[in-house]
Amino acid sequence: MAGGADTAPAPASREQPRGAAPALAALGGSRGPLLVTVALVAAIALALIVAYGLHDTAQRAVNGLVSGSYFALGAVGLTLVYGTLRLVNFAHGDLLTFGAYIAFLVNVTWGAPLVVAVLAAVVATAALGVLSERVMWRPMRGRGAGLLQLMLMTLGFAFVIRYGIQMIWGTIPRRLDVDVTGSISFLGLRIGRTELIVVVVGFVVLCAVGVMLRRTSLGRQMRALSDDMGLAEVTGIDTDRVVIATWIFAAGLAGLAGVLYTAAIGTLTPNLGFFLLLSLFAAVILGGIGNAFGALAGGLLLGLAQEWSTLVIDPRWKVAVGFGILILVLIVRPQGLFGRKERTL
Amino acid sequence: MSPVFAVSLDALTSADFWIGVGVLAGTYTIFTLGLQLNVGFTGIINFGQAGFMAIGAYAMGILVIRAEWSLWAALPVATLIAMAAGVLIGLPSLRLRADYFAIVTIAFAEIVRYVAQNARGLTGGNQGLLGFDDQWLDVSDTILGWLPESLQDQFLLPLLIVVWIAVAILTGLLMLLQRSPWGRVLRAIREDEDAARALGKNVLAYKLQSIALAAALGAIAGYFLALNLSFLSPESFEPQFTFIGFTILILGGLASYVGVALGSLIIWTLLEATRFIDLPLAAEKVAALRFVIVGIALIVLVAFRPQGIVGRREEMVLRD
Amino acid sequence: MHAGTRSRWLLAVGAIAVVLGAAGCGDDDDGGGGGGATTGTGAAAEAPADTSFDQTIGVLLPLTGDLSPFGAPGRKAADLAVSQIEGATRAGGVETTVSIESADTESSPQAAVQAARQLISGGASCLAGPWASSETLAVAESVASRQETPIVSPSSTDAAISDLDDDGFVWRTAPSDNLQSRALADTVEEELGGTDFTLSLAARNDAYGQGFIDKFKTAWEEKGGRTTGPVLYDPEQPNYNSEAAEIVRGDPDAYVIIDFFETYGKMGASLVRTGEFDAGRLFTADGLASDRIPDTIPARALIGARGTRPGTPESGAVVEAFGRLWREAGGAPRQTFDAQNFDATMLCYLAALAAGRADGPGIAEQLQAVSAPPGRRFTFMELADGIRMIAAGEEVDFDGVTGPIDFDENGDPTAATYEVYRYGDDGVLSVERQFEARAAAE
Repeated sequence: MAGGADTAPAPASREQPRGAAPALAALGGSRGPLLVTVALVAAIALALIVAYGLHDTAQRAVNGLVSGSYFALGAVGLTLVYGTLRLVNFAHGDLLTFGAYIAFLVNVTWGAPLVVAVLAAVVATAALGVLSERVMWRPMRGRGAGLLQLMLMTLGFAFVIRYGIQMIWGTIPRRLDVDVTGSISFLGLRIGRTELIVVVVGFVVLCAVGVMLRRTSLGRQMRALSDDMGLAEVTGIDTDRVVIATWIFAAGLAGLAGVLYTAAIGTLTPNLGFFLLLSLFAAVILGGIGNAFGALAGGLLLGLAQEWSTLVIDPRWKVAVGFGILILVLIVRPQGLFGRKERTL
Repeated sequence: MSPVFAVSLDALTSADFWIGVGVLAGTYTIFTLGLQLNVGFTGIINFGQAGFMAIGAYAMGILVIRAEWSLWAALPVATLIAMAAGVLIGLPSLRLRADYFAIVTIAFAEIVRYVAQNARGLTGGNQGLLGFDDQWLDVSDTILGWLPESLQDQFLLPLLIVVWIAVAILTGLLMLLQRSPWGRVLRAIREDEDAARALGKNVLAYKLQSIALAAALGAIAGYFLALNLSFLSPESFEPQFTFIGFTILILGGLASYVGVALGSLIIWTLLEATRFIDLPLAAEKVAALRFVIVGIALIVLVAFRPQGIVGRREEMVLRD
Repeated sequence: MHAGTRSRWLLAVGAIAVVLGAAGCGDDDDGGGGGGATTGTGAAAEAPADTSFDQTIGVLLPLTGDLSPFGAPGRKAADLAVSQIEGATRAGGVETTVSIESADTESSPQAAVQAARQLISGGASCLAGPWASSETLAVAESVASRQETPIVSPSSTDAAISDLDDDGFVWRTAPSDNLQSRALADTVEEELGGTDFTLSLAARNDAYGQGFIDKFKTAWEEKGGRTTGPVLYDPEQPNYNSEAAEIVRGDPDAYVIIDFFETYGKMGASLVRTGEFDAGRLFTADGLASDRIPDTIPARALIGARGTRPGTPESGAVVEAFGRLWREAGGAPRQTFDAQNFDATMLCYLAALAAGRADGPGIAEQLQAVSAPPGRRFTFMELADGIRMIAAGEEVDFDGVTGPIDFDENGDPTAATYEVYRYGDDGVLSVERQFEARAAAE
């Protein structure tokens, strides 16, 4: 399917603007799309403020920031795996569920403090990711498995995780030992106490991941692999090690996203990751698949879009907004905001 | 525990059980034939088949109940609507990479299901649609009357017969198509799209036709599903049914029609029979176990025997 | 084409096997099984034909899914009914045996239909359940009248069920929401002291929630009150903050929210986080009624909330006896609709006894007769006497734990007891008062 590649240069795609802030440069130097996006968001915000008032628009924006945080965390992991391995991991949502339930096990069943539970969730999910790589993906790659085969295996894996969790913990909703009702008020807006923690933790972790990708040698290697795995191997990068590292980060972030999502919303059920999965795809594709900062931006934008949409349409349709964005982006600009066009055809 | 065990034995030897399995297996054979056309013969990864099934079934239900059409008029029109949906989705997105297309199709299927859940006035929402099958029931009763006395209380039997007749007809048509020049072009597209394009074939048009046909097959499967339950609800169209379809497809072999039917029979026998396994587990855990088994089966099949029971290895493996 | 011919042969064998199986196993019915028997005709059979049949009562339970909190107690209630029956048959002078088969409906209409079919093919002649209104609608349409097996739902309250064209095979021991939504409106009026108030309405987006809140809105507005909403929300949403903000907007005088626990855990948390929600102003219904607030619901989302639910009469020997029976059995604690399932199971048996055989159409014909006047009244405490009377061909009027029941032609109980409950500061539900609602004669 590599035929028909469009060789028209994507806007400023490979230039590294000198003197630009690291964050901008990490977007692949695509300042153009970034500015357009910011301008678009600002324009929409203005329109909403005029129509519905500053308070409502701002409050929904806060809500959007909260959901955007866990969308972003989940999306970054999904995009890292895709970028490096070209694997569309339909089991990614269930990694979030897995993380959430490990946290439940440690926090509620074993009574440990939440921080310990979060760490345990991250570690356990990362381990599961590495396990899947060793046991399933690497052998299949070695055998020259095709796209369909791999995708179907991720689906099977998704079933196994989800229903395995259901077998152990049942379908009754569970709750983490967190405060879901405390809220703080600032500037006339409200945010839940735990929601705020989610946003802060998410932001810090995502920045750390960004720095890692940009500044460390491991990060550079991951990006090299994601550009062209064959070339990376030839230049002496230990691809196995980097792939494992990718899984550790991707799955670890997924586990973290699952716990944070549960903490913010209050309850967990075996389906939680699956419900989020399509929104995660939307975020990934919106941001440009393979691009970690794109996933972050995509996640935040998706959260904003969903919550702002409740001002205009019936809240029941909120989730469809995510799907709609997904399809729209794929049709109009498949490389998303920050991706590269050659990747998409 | 023993009453449960007794039920499991009885159920498995009862005609009701096998007829029920047969109807489901037939329904999903038609469903999976669509997948086979797309994946096996054209090289398109269609993860949205449940969405086409939903569009067909709901279009039929809405036409009969809201617009008060006759069932027989609604069926072909609903099929056309599903085909149109296939073209609509395919037009802008078939030029994308295979995995992107897969994501688009899943998103499409979820949107359809979501609309079904929320457009209460049209689709009945989560409450569903009832009462569209009166005309079918009349036919069913007539067929029942033709059967020998001893079978006349098996009220699902007419549906079983009709489903498998449909399977036979559709399989026959697909076989003819496959051997025709049209089918050969599809095969060529699957093997090497660029070459086919270089030969002057309008690849997009062929792919669209493939999607439209698959959508039609999905819609027909949807009708049988609806007639089986006499009830339409959004949860019958969750993505897990597309994935069950893929399991059937892989099990039966990507290129074998008979394999699809066999695979469908095996999977549905397993899924239905496991409702009654007496294990030292609570009922809800058994329910979950069934799907864990489906997941493991899918992984193992794809990894170790991607050609399924009946297929040949070279037929499998879609590379990007 | 080696593989081709081999597989064609396999398919042929498979097809023949299926058809042979269908034809050959056709007469595999158990003695008391449903489905295969000849249909009864005409008037209620008063003369007992046979008092030594074997009956299998199928119990459809939501063991998993949204209504799973009701599953285990429901099962216990059915088991208790059967043990009471077994204890009384000897004394009553009959030689029937009754057994229960249960199946999980997964709180889903599709699974409920398949579970019902499988119970019937396993020999059940009467089904207690299913529970969710959406499940009952599906099972009624696809299974009950087609396979001529009556279903008696303990908890499906959707008003549409009364109007189903079901040939008399769909019954319920729970009253229609037509009654409950009105009853709730009356209760709100009483609690607030009038109708000149604005209520913020919200409900979960399904048959139960939508149906209920629409009827409530009509009832309240007929009284001259005002409403905002309804805000309908989906159980699968990633968050509910925006919906919660909508519900508390404008500081309404009270909120009416119709939901089940699984979703309310999330919605309730969002509501409290708005900082403007006062559970003391919340009114709700049976979906959120449980003996105590479950762990998954933040307490502040329900403490002080009031609501109505179908209940059991407050006092009376029957109710106390049932409570004792429940406690002595151990296991699951009391739960909403448990007594309704007990009554449903009982009725399946008593109707079969009255028909003189455990077969679907016969039971369906007798359900109204054994539950309603004329006839000698008895409760499960006098079960042996009741059995003896039925066996002797006398008319009876069974009164359940939940009240007189007295089915009408639509299969609805004509009299229902509702309880007004409130969640106290300790999270425990207490019943404040009861009232009886009678369906308006159609």
